[in-house]
Amino acid sequence: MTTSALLVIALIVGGSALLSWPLGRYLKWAMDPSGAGSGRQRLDRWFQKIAGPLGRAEQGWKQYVVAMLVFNAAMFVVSFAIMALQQHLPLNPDGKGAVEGSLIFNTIASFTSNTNLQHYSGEVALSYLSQLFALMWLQFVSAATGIAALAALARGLAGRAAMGNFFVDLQRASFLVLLPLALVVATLMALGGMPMTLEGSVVATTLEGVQQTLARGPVAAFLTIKQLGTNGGGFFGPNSTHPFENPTFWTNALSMVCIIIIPMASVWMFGRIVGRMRHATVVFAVMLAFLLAKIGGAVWFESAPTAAFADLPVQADVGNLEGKELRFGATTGPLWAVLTTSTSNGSVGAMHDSLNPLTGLMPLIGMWLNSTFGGVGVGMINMFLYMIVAVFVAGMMVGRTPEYLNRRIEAREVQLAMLAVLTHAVLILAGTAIFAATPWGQATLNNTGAHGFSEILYEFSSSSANNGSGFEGLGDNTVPWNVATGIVMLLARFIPIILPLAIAGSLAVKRPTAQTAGTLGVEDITFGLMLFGTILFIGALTFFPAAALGPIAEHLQFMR
Amino acid sequence: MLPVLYLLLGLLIFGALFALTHAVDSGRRGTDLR
Repeated sequence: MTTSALLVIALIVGGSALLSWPLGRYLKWAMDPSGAGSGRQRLDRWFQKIAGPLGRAEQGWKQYVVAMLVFNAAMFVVSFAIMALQQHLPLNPDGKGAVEGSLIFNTIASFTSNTNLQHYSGEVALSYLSQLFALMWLQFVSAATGIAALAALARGLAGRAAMGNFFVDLQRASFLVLLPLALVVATLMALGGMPMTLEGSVVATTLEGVQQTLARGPVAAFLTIKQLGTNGGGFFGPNSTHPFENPTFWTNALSMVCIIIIPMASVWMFGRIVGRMRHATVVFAVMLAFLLAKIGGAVWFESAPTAAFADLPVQADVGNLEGKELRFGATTGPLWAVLTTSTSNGSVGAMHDSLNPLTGLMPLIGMWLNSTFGGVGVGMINMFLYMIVAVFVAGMMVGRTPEYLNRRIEAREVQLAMLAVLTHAVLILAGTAIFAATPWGQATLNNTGAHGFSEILYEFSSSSANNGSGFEGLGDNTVPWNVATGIVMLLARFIPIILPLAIAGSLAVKRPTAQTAGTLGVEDITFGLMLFGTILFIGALTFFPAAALGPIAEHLQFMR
Repeated sequence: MLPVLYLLLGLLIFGALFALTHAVDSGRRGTDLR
């Protein structure tokens, strides 16, 4: 690893980690204003007024979840209608036509679930109305849903059975967090050379005299919330490798900071709401350790050319340059690949299909764990599930009833946590098995053998992790793919929110236990190691066989 | 296939999520050993 590579990693990851601290403080102020000044309370009164009767009452976990599901179902219907009728609606200067039904289902499920898996090219298939008022709108509210859910979870763990009001939380996350940040970043992106216009495509004449149609549009606005909300859906098909969606080294660096910063700050927000900042520090350190291990692995494995170049007269000390955006250097491709898959973002800055086999394993690990740092809000919720399992295992090891934040963890909480963890695994592995064994998957592959298996595995991992990036090389705009991944995305989005909120609701009404010398502390290195080991072993036991059939087998095939 | 059928599929999934929420809420409570 070169010095410049280390500097880029330190700039992006270190800078984001530092900035996440004040942002976490701000998130607490925005999402849980208890104890804040009168000006902040006035904002909440406005939010309650906007929400009307829906915003007045405090909600228990079930009311909170029902409100979240009703809102998201309504958004699904409205966005579906906009996209299905786009050929009859305004803001369609290039006359985009009708979209096929299963592709609409997949796309709207994808954006409702904060996944942004894209089986289409935005500049080819969608009108500006669909891009802005169906997809970009969903990018805001789906991210806000994740932040709101984490705030509710933290309130429950702080012992508040009334976990807030979803409609007020949604506005807090949208108007106080995402919108102001997006305005600042979109301005910087536009200044960096990104298009921001509602005019249609332009036709240019190249130096060779050929006519070329250049797609453009409100790219800066779309790109910004795509990154800040860990959405990942690109305005253009090639996503952040397109020069209009990522013009310079600085827009590239700023994009990567935007990918990781809110997931990092979510940990601090959680710690502040539950009133345990030392606990949040331990969780942050565990997440960071996993993230740095994946980055180190990806950059290291990508430092050699792909095996197909072994007998070719090419320079061997410049790393694997296939599928990289060379304007940004060789390091940022694998770095982006890890950041985008560790955070459920899914935007791409390099061709993941071209990564060396073991480099390609790193994004897969990020999506399998889905909690280091994970999506906005939901990454920390996923980590909470692992923490429940970790304290349960630790309790069993020493023969004590497990506790978390002074509440006893009993069979019901462990069952719900394991159900949520296993849902993610089953959706990935069962989906992969079915598509690998049938023409639904086999007929859509451009590669056979281990690499083809990896493509199917990646697609289901990306869907279930609500990530949205693609390994590509897969003809995935088919009815079976659109329907299967659409169902996976919706289930994988909401089940791991519903069940943790149920656990928090259950814990909130329990009587706090006194901390004794035998209590497993959650604020020290022992807990950090226990949590690290739990995540590692659950991840390895669940996914190693699939990894062995895909990227590991492909790596071994090329060993000389 | 008509887009409206896919819309109904989406609503069916949300219906299943509502059912899950209700099932979890009405499920057996913990014994809360104290």
